[in-house]
Amino acid sequence: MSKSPAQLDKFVSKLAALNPLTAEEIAAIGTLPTRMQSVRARTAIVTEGQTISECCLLVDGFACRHKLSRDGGRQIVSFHIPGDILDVQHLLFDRADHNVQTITDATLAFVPMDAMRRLTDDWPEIARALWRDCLVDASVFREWVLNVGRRSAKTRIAHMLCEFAARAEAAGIGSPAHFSLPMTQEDIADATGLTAVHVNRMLRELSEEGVIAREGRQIRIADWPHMKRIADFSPAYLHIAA
Amino acid sequence: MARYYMNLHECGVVTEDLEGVDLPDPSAAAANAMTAARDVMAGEVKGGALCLSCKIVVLDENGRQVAEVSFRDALDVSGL
Repeated sequence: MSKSPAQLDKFVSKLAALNPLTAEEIAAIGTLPTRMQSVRARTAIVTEGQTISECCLLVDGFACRHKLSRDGGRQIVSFHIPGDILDVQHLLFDRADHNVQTITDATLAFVPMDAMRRLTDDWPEIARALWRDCLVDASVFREWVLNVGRRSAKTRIAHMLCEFAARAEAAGIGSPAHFSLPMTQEDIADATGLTAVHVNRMLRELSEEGVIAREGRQIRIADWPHMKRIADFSPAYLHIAA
Repeated sequence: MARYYMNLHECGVVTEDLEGVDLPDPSAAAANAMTAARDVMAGEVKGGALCLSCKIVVLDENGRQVAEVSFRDALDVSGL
């Protein structure tokens, strides 16, 4: 097992933004035993029904949480960015109730669940940060229900992309116009309850409206303010600290 | 598994699929295109208009056409 505090940096920043942490608390997080692993895109990290003994932190790359319908249809329920803890609920529940999968090549840090539990037992403010993380997750899920349930296909896609860009910017990954979105058309389709062909068509419209730029398979937000208007996007539900 | 590309043809406007999707064989690709056609039509219906002349053309990795699904054939319309 190796201790790699630098690789926990984004995780620490994220927790500290959720709940202020002292230097002592940050140092305590740095003592967590971690096992690093590099994986390819579309690797299953957690499978529904599995018993979990390690907590997974996303260090680099992107991931999603999803569930499968009886006929094999995948519904992505959230996307995840570096710094995210992918399965904080497994601190308290033994069995996974959903799947976690990478959407790009990724670097993961695995922490034994016991060690993470001891950390939260010993440091209530760290526990509070994780609690807030769960609450933000829940808020995002509510917005996704609204998105898939009531918004038009184009607005759904635009909103989902805006959310991703806003979260990535808050995490220090870069401003919306400057990075390529890591999801495939299929990922976007599975996140919005559409097919990839429909998504492609909507992306063409968004491109014609000048709010996204497409170069081959790359998608970039080209006009962030206009994109937010089309998406009916307001970031309050993300509870991002000012 | 092979990669198939689903190009949407809407009365002269083509939305090219630059990513494709991995599927077991051409008949799975045709079934996938059928589902996609119905999904696109569902979106049109919600907008209040539907064109049955549109189609999805499925190409394989070499650019060869392996299937074509017209919107008209993807739907059983009655009561017109």
